[in-house]
Amino acid sequence: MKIRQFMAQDHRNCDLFFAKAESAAASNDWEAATHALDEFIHAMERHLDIEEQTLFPAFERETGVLTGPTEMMRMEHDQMRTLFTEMKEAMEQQDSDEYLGVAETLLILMQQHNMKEEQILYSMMDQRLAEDVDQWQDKFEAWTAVEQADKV
Amino acid sequence: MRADLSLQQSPPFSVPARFLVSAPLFGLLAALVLLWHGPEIITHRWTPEILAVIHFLTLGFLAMSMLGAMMQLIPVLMGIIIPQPVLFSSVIHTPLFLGTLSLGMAWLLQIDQLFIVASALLGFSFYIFIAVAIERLLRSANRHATRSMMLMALLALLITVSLGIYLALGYGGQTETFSHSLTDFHLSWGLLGWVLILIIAVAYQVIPMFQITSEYPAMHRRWIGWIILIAVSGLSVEAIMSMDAIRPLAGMIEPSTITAISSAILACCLLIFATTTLWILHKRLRQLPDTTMKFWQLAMSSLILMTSLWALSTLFDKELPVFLLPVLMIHGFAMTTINGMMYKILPFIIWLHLSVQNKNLRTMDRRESQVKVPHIRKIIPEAAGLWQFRFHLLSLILLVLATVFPTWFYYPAALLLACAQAFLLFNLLKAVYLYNIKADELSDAIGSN
Repeated sequence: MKIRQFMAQDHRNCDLFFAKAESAAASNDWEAATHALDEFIHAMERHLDIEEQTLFPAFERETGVLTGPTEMMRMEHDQMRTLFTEMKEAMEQQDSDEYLGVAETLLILMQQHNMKEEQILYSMMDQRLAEDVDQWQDKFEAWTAVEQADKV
Repeated sequence: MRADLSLQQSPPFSVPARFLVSAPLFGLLAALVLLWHGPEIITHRWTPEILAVIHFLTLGFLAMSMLGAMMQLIPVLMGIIIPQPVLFSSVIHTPLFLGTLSLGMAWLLQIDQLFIVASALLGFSFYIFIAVAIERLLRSANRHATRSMMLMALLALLITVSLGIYLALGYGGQTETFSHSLTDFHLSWGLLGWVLILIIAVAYQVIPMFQITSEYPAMHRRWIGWIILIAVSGLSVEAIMSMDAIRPLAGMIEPSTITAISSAILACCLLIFATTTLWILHKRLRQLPDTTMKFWQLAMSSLILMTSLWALSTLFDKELPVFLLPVLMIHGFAMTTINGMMYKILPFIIWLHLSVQNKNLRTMDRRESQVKVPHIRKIIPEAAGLWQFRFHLLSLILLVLATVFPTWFYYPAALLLACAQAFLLFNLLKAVYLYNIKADELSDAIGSN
């Protein structure tokens, strides 16, 4: 499996949780919404961690570029985290309009971020980090195993 | 690695904003011209007044917002910067704005010299934009179908503009006078080439992502742009054959057969695109009412209605009211799509710029001076978008009726078009005003550090 495939699939998984939390909040089902939002943020943090701790440093080491696209991606991760906090606050106050507004802002930010990663950055990583392909397979399996253990 | 790869967040706010805000100004202008002149201008196909109205809509609304959107999308999605973005956008926007006005005024006031002025301004704006955009896209590392379809759309725009300038200079007395087949050639490259291909290219990106739907089928993404491009070229064969220089070749192929096959292929592409879009929207994961999605659904329904009417009238050899198909294509499909997307693009860009400035305060350790950045539904509220959608929908219904029964529906249609465009302009300007206030607060806070 390539980095692009694995990570793009992970984006889609996060989207599922996002949609679940959004429709629960829209129908004022706050218990379900809070649970889905927790799942969403957990999945997102895991995804962002994989990038920030493993993929970006590997890419930066390989290319020697520290202030390029990975720096921009990290900045967008920060913007997303600010919105996670605002979503949680709106959820605690059971403020449906506020939640839906912040959530939609996050959706656009996150999706344009995902497009840049899936259409450019991950493909570059697949090219530049191709020599370590076996090592990446092991990592994907390990990440998936951690995720499944979390679910249990 | 390419040295100029940049996954930048956004060009400066004024770059896309000037294009987006200009679009409904021209929409409003088109409606005012209709109101001023009265129903007699739609009795014949080529009255100068209706040509002015059509070009205020296609150049002033459609091309204006499409160029603005590309200025935003090329650096952000294609990972390739446009150098000096503010200067570049002024160099493109100002002559496009003035050129469109001159072209409309040339028809309305019957001043032939204005056609020459308009051709110069529009040619300057479009040729520079096309050259820069093609060069930038060719350097992009992005291999998504959207990139190749943007290139195809730009090629179609190049042909449309060149034909348009030739035709406009004809009015200005510089080239051969007006030709119907060349006009059809210009119209099909503009609407079915440039507008249609670019909207499909953007739909591939934004519909699955923002509505959380499944992707368009891979075959669809891979081939539809090429097929449309070839079919539109097929439509041009008849026009080319009618030119004097090519006439000796005319006996070799039957142009009308090629036109018929190309039309059938195009009709299939339009129906496949519209029904696929409606289907994936219907199966979307986000089950939330969303104004932009209503605009997409309306646009696709218009496209299906237009294609069906076109196909049926061709098959049964029936004449349709002259302006029925153009209204469904230009207003029903293209303006509707763009109007809907504006409600996502503009608030998001505003949010992005404000939150970057806010973050600067945080890194300067000035947390107390930070302002609360409004989320996108506070920048343009859903209700404001939804009401404008209702006006837009009503204006479309009345415009369609006006093409069939001009005596009854012409004035209500023009009036509603004016209201819908004024409402859109109001919504966009209010958002820009909010941006200015918040940006001032933020720069004051940074300045007082």
